[in-house]
Amino acid sequence: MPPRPTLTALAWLAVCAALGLVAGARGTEAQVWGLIPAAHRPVIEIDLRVHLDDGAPDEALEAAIAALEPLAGRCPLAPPPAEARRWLDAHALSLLPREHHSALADRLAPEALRTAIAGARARLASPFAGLVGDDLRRDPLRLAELAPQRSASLGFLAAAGPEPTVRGDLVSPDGRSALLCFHTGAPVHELRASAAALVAGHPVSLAVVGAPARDEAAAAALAAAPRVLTTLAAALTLVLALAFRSVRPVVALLLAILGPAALLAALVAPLGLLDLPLLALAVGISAAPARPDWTITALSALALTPLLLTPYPAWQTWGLAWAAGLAAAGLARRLVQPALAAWLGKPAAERAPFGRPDPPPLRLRAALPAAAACAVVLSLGAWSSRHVRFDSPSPLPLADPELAAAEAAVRAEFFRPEEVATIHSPGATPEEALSRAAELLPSLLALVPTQIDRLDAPGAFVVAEPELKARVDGLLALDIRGRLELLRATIAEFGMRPDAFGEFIRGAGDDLRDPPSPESALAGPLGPWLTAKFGPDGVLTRVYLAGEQAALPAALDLRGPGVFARAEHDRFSARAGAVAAAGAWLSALVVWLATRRLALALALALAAIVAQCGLLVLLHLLHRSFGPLTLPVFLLAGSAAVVAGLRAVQALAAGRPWIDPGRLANALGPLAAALALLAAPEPVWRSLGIAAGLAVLAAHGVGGLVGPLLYSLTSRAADRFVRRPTRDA
Amino acid sequence: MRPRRSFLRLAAGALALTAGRARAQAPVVDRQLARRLELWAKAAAGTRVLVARYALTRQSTLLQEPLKTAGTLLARAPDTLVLRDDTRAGVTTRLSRGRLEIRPNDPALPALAEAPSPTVTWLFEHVLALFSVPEGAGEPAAALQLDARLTVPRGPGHLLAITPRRDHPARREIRDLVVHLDPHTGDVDQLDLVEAGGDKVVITFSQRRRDAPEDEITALLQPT
Repeated sequence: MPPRPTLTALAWLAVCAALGLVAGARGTEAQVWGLIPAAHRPVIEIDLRVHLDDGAPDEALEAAIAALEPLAGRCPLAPPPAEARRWLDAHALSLLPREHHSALADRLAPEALRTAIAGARARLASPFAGLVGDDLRRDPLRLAELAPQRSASLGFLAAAGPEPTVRGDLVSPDGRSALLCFHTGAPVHELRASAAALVAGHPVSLAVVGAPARDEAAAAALAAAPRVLTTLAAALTLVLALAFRSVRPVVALLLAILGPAALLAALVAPLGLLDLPLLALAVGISAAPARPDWTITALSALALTPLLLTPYPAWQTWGLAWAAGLAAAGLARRLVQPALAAWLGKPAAERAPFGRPDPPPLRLRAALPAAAACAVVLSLGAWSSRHVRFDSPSPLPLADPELAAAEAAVRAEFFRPEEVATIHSPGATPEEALSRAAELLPSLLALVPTQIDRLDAPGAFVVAEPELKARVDGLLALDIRGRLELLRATIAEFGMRPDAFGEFIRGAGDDLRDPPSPESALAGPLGPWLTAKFGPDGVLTRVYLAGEQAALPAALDLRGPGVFARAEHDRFSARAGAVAAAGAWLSALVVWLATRRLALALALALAAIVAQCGLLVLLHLLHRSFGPLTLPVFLLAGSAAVVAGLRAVQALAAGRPWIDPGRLANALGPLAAALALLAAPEPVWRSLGIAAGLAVLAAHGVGGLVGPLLYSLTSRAADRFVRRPTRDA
Repeated sequence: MRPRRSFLRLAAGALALTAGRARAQAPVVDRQLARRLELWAKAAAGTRVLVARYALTRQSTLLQEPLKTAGTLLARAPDTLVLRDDTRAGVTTRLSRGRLEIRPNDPALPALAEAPSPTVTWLFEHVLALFSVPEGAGEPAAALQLDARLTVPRGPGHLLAITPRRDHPARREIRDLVVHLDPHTGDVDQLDLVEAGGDKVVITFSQRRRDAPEDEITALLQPT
């Protein structure tokens, strides 16, 4: 017993208070992008959705948008549509890639030209002719058919979908909503308040989406943190009281783990959305009624170390912080808890040191079915890892109903905000950057429509040298001017008015004189929009990803949460396997160092993997998801199985019963943490709470019940392996 | 003082009268529309197959003069619409669910065959529903009201306007589809299709037959 328990206790409480103050002083953060590496963080823009009230006339939307004009930081979501369409029409020939020149030559051949115009004239006899394909006036030869991806995916210029306004805002297909983009450093609530004040007299409602809005909602979610921690404290008090049946040991234990919890909070502070569940689980695991020996402390502390191998920033922090926090918890339980118990007037009983436990006597009748059951769980787990629903790291669900409704509306009417990716084309000048952006375009268009829905690509409006010269030479060789004259004559011959096609004929003629070089584009009507797309990193291309989850080509260097989520979708199974293997290896090393029994280390490592597979099976059966978010819980399942197995083997070696309610009480701490999370409003916390609850069941079921049997089998196999050389000798 | 008071009374009275009329007007419009639909349903309900002659006029800025053609229409519930022009200069338009074909009658000219856009599907479904509502199809007007707003436009004759619903893509390309009904039989006499681009297509119908022989129908369904 420490000589001065009161002094120790007071010093401890002071340390706890100091650490708590440090954690509190560092505040909170949103951490809604905690699973996304910095390079893939989303575009920092706020999208303001303006929606007409029921019964309001359509015209009111335009008035409301005009009223929002004074708001600072407006950024266009699309190029000015009239200028962009006119530019594309005027340069339809030179924007056509060279590989289509032979098809173009076929279409411009005199007979083909005649046939095309005669066919167009004949089709006008159908009442449906005006509703089919592109406008005959803009493209009488249907040249857009030669490069369909370009016309269908560029900006928001396609016939279907939202319509861009002159300012580059978007109007929904039904004309009842508009989406305005802001790139401003002002907080979301300030923008919302300013916008609301400006449209006070208009029959519209406002909603805000985008990365800053998610940040604000996630930060607001942390207001529920005290409730979760209070629920956790209450639940732990209850389960510990059941285990100890005495008040003072419960108080001593809780005070002992208060310091490590505060240390953990200080290490990961500012506390975020993803930190709270792991903090709760750390407290729950540290509060096991059985005081941990050094082996169990090491096992628990190293449980999340494999997270250092993952690319998820929040979990990388936790890989180290957890080790420090749980090691501190082990120290506190060993060194401080007795002092606190003595201070409270109830000295803690001494524990026998952990020895080298012999394997329990082998009962083949129980061990073989258990081994077979493990094999089945492993197989099912491997199968489930391929079929369980992938829990994408982006977007993390948030409970804020207003944000959820706004995001759903924006997804339905405009685009999926979380699926916007970006790519920068570097260059010292806008011209140079635009040239690079133009060179990039074919690779992006090749991904339309399977992996990319739309492109907001400045490079689509220009052609870089030397490609531009090659294209113009190719077009001149086709005698475009002569063919245009022939087209004019043919149009008149078939009773149509050549002037009605004037835009196309004039544009095609001018195109060869003034082709769409970066210089001419910057000097043209799209110049202001193109210049605005140029920044310190070069020209920005926005890519709206399609629904398909396949990874995008790495060579493109696309950035965005959706890009990272797709890559993770493909490689997560392998990552989870590697992380589980690393965790099992660390656990086996710790057990072997502590006991020098390789058979026990192997048996418990196997138990860890079986428990993790069991967790996967349970998640799949219950239609839950598995992914980067639940990865720490997956690792904790393995570590908890090893701890439970070790405790069971130790108990059996000491002659205590195999199934011992006292030992099973150790599962109650993490279960209490899971319940506290489950009672929270945030979907992220609830998901982790459910997964943690299932993990505790799988870990203690497999580790505590099957672990000793596996140890019997592995030790018998090891004995045979060791004895064989002797027999041979 | 007195004239001002009288004026205010008069103004208040006029206002009340206007408001009362506005309130009363809505049911009148509804009744008018119901009567128009009733008239139309008299001819369309129970019609599975209709064969008729048509004359089409397209007014377009593309053309030096309005384009005029004539031909035979086949509307067969639930999913076939054929408009076959008589002359070699015309086309044959075939529509079924999932397929649109506009084939010039001159085989040397290129045909257009594609999956119909939402706008084409909207027009196809409404034109087909105008001519044939097979027995047991439920409320006859339901097919007309799908994704559309029905109104009774002002003007001479028994008119019915079908406008694409505000949030339907067809709204961008079709301004109106006005149906002229025969005041006695309820048959569709004429369709005016006003495209958003400014083109106007007027189709008048005559010589309607609901008992066309099967071989004639088969012939109309055959490729040109």
